[in-house]
Amino acid sequence: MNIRRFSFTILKKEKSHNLFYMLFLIVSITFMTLFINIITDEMILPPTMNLDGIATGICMISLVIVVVIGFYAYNYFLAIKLKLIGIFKLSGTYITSMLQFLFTQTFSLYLVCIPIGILLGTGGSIIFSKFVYQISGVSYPGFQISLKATIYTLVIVLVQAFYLAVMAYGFIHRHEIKTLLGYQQSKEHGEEAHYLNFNFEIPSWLFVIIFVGALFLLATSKNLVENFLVYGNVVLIVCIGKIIDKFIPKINSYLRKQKCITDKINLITLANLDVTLSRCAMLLQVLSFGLLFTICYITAYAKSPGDLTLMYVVYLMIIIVLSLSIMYQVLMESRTRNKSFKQLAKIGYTKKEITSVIAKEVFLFYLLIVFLSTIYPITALILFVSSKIISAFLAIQLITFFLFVMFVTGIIVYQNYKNMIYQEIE
Amino acid sequence: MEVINASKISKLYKLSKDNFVFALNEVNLVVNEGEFVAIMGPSGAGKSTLLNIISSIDLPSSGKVIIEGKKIQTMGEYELSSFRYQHLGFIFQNFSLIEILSNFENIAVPLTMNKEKEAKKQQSVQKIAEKLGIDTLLDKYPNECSGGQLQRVAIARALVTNPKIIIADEPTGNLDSKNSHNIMMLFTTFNQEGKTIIIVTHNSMVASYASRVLYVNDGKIEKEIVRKNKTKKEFFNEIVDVNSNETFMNEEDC
Amino acid sequence: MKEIIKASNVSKVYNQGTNAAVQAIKRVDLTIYEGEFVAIMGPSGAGKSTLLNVLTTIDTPTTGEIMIDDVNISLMDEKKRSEFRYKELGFIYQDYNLLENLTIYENIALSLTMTKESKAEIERRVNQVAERLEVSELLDKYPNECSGGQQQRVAIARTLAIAPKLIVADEPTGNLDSKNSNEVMKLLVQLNKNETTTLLIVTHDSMVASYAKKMLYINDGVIEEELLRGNQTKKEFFNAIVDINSKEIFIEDLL
Repeated sequence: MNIRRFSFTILKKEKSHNLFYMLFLIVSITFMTLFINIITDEMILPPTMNLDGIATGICMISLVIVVVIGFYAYNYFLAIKLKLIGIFKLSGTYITSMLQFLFTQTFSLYLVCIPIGILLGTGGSIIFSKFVYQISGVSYPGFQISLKATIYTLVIVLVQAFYLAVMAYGFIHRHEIKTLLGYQQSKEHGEEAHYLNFNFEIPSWLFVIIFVGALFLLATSKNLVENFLVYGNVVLIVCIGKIIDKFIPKINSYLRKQKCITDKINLITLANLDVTLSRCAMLLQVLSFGLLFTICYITAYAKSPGDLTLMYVVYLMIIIVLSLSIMYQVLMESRTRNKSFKQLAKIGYTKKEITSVIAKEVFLFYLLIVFLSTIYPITALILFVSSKIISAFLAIQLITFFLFVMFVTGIIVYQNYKNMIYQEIE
Repeated sequence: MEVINASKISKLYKLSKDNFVFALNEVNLVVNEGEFVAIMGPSGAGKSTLLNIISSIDLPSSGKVIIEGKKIQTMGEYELSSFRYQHLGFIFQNFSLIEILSNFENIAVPLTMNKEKEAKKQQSVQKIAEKLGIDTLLDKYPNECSGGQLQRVAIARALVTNPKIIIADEPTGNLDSKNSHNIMMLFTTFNQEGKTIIIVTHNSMVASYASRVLYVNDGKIEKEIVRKNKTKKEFFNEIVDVNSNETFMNEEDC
Repeated sequence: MKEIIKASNVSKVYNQGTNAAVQAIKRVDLTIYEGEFVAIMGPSGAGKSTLLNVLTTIDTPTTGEIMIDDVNISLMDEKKRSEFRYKELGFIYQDYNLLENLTIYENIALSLTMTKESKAEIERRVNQVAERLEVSELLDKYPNECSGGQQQRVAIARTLAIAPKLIVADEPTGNLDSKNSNEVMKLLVQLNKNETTTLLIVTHDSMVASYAKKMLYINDGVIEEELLRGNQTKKEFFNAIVDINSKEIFIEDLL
């Protein structure tokens, strides 16, 4: 059929976008398989340490998270097709044809990712299982592929697939042609008058005060772990978003206008940083929450080796998935800067200066996100270690792993960003 | 015969909480079959908004739009798609071509997505490409073509379904005078073949190819001039006058 | 009169030595004097933008010599050339080319940032040109919050902030309507008259070109015609320009 072939033709030409989409899907399905195996397979842990209700709960939440990651990746996959859908709509294409087009692309890649993800997930389950048996001193009975687990995994994959289809429909249905084509709205006019906006604002510095103040309160409280686990996370959820969206931009624009207006490198760095940060605000919120939650949980409840290993897996998952997402976001954002950097080169910025701008932006970005996301966890860990609730060794492991992943993704982002811009200015 | 009938069209925007602005204010417009209409006016005056509304791309805040006797606002999605496919062809300033597809594939997009048979598709694309003088470029890609060629590819795509109404927003905006002239001559040819053409432009030279020019300012159609029996040069001068009445007044400044 | 730019026997060939070699400009001789107001016109692909890029050090000529302020460009290193671009040269492009992540204030100030002016001086000049171009209320906004006309005015403000000796504009009113175009051109005329800024404009628009004092028509990489306004009224000059540009168009009055 014509549409199917056409769909493939276009798909083949969008290699890098497809790669990212598939990467996310594979990671998503891998962890899905892993967690489902952990929940449903009785033999995965030695008989002495079956999972209690809470651990199972954690697995389920993690499961939901990885499924959601799939949606997130799909959102981006769709976003680059805005213009294409706009042209289809303009040409008078039926919605069923557009859906057929999107589905062919979406599910052909999806079908490739499913077996890969399941294979990796199964491999991961074997490693996980072997490890737990080993550290609990029971001999490993060998792994048996659980039919139940496979079925559950496929069911959830289908559910995810169904929601992807719903997203595709919403995508086509929702966007108006003129926005799809990137139509230049007359900017003198504001929003189309549809609804009323509420207009009251809490000052942003208040959130910083709450953030810092709460940290002190928590640090001096009695039930360290529970407090950090519950109240710490509440504070993070409430404050981090606002700090990134409102407070930091204010500082940024002050710095730019008052201190860096005479500094041609920092001016551009800060301006770009502002935008990159705001694009990643939500991811950072999730990252801070995820870090603090898992670290506190590990400290509080992961006493048995089985639980501990499981939580470690969850911790790894959160860090890997979120780091990848942040990396993806930043690279997507940097792609939009080609024209700007070209313009800078034209008006007289040397290649060295442009490299400096990029390097500083990536460095400051990662510095900020590492700082914001680890200030609570590191403080908590220091207190936990000094109160001997958790071993220093474990604490260092956890933080080091996070810092290591951030460092590696930071380097990858820097190289890619730099090369992309170099291509443009040469 | 009326092809487009827009009555009391208004489009409202919100600048801030209590500050509303009418991009269009109760505009009435009737376009008859075979007309060649140019819509001009200052930036932000509402020309593109008006064009979008009378061509079904946008909805008015209030008012009625009837195209070929059908009420656009009450059409379902299915009907609207079908209607666009059969009756309308759109051309924009920035070509809106898909970079990763060849010119042939770009022109064929409407046909491909409407499941036309391969043989018929080849025929239609070949035919329109020949008419526009780009049949030798069909295997090339957009990034291998000049501005003038790209616009012709975009026009080919708009016309491959043989619509009766052509809608163009600044079709020569990114082109130089020679290419602009060639494109406008093509439009003239299509108009002579019976197609109704409505374009938005701020270029008086371009507008002089039309048979009727509307000057939109501050959300209303401020002035309307028709060519009738004037020469193109006379019409052009009249259009220039309407658009820039201050230009030649202060000769001392220059 | 002082020579600002002198091009002797300048050619630019792209893809030299291959089958796809294209000679964009062929042995062009051109002198721009201080205080001149020159419009360069011609069909698309004729070599206008190439010529502009070569004259302003963005691109290097394949053959020939270009002297700027009596200094041979080929003897300038990258640093000196950059310096020339951001100190002496003001650019105005058709698509504004504002940096979208910088506020309007920062965009205008950027050229001054490059010349290492003090903060106070930057503030003074930015406010001054912003007022002149009527964009003062936009200073804290971002380019994507401004209309096309506003963005172009900001781009011009950015150029004016450095009070350059030479302003080069490539379709400065390309995306503007007649009213805005008119305002912009009047401003440029003022600059040329009162501040002896040398202006070099590439345009398709005969109306825009009629504000200049000299028009060069480029076709196929060579300067085909040179038109001086002399004592003609603006309207007469405009008609002469239109005639050169659209020789074919009004012949068929059968339309």
